[in-house]
Amino acid sequence: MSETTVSPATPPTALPPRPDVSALQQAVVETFFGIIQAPDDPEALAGGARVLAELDAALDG
Amino acid sequence: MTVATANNDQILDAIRRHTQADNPSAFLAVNEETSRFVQPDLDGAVCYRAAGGFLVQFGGPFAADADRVELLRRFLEFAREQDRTVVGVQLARYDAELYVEHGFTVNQVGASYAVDLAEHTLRGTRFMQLRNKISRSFRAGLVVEEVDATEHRDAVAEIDAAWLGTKGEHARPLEFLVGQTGGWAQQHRRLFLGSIEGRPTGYISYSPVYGTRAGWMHDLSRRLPGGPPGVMEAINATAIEKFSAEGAGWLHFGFTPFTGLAEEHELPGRSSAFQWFMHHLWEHGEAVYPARTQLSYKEKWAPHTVLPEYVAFQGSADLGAFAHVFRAANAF
Repeated sequence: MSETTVSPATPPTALPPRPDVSALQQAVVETFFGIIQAPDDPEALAGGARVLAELDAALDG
Repeated sequence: MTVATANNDQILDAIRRHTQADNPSAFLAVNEETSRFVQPDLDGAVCYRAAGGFLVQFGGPFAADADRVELLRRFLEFAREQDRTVVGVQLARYDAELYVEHGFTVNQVGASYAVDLAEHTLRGTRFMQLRNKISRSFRAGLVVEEVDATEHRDAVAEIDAAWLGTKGEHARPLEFLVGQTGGWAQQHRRLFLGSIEGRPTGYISYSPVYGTRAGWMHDLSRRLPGGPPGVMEAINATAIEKFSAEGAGWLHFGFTPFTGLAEEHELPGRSSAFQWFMHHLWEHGEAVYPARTQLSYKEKWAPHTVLPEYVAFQGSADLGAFAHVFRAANAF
């Protein structure tokens, strides 16, 4: 890192935490196989769109 | 909503006449146990299976241009009345674009492969291994013939049972998105059987393909375990010779999920997450579908055309809907 890019006088900017893409991808895989194991389980099914939406937000955001 | 009934002839007529999408797998629409949605005042049909809370639609509406949007609209209404969600699979690009326009999230799910028979040859070093494999099976005594499926029903059943036995204790034959043998539609299919010393060893069933790439689709293919290598390749090579001699245009190898994925095929509004998941299943999805093995067989024949196929989610991309495609196909 170049010294010129950091000024000690500049307070650190609070960045939002970066989504953990690999954890979200793992959740997608687990959710899919969870649905295959229990295709009529409303809780498993409810996760099917949600985990993809979360990963979409992380990938496209 | 009043839903008219459609007989096999009407469905066959619809897929023969309404070929705008050039869906090479359209003949699967006449599979037994596949439901058909038709309306008396509209020219066309939607083919689907109910699975859990979903109606899994095969292909797009096989319908006249003037009626296809209205047929889709009424099918969605029909699903809503049952409190079910529509998920479409094996949509060709022409149909996939229609679903994007109607608020679906559409992603590429795989591809289908086709050989232009006018360009096809097994000459040259590229095909040396394939030729050797075919030669070995013939040297082992293989005889390949086109046969009447009804007369050879027992042979097909014996091969099916032995083939399924190799797939594991809990294996189930896929349905809906794969072809069938027998039944009403058999009169339109062709069956090539390989035998060694009179014993049936393997078969390939071919279904008709309509549209601009008309010809035949290499559909169900099964063989006894433990036979010489190259039996299926020899059966297919024999069928290709016959189809070519008859002047057929194309030999299609059908849909393979998770293959041929490319950014250029994706449509506006696609889910990046689902796109990632398809790539993941290509890399690690052998338990879901043996895509690599299937693709390897198809690539041996050096297909001239690779056609993307799509899944369409009503609303947002949904793993539950996608899982129910496999459920409708009897995969679990």
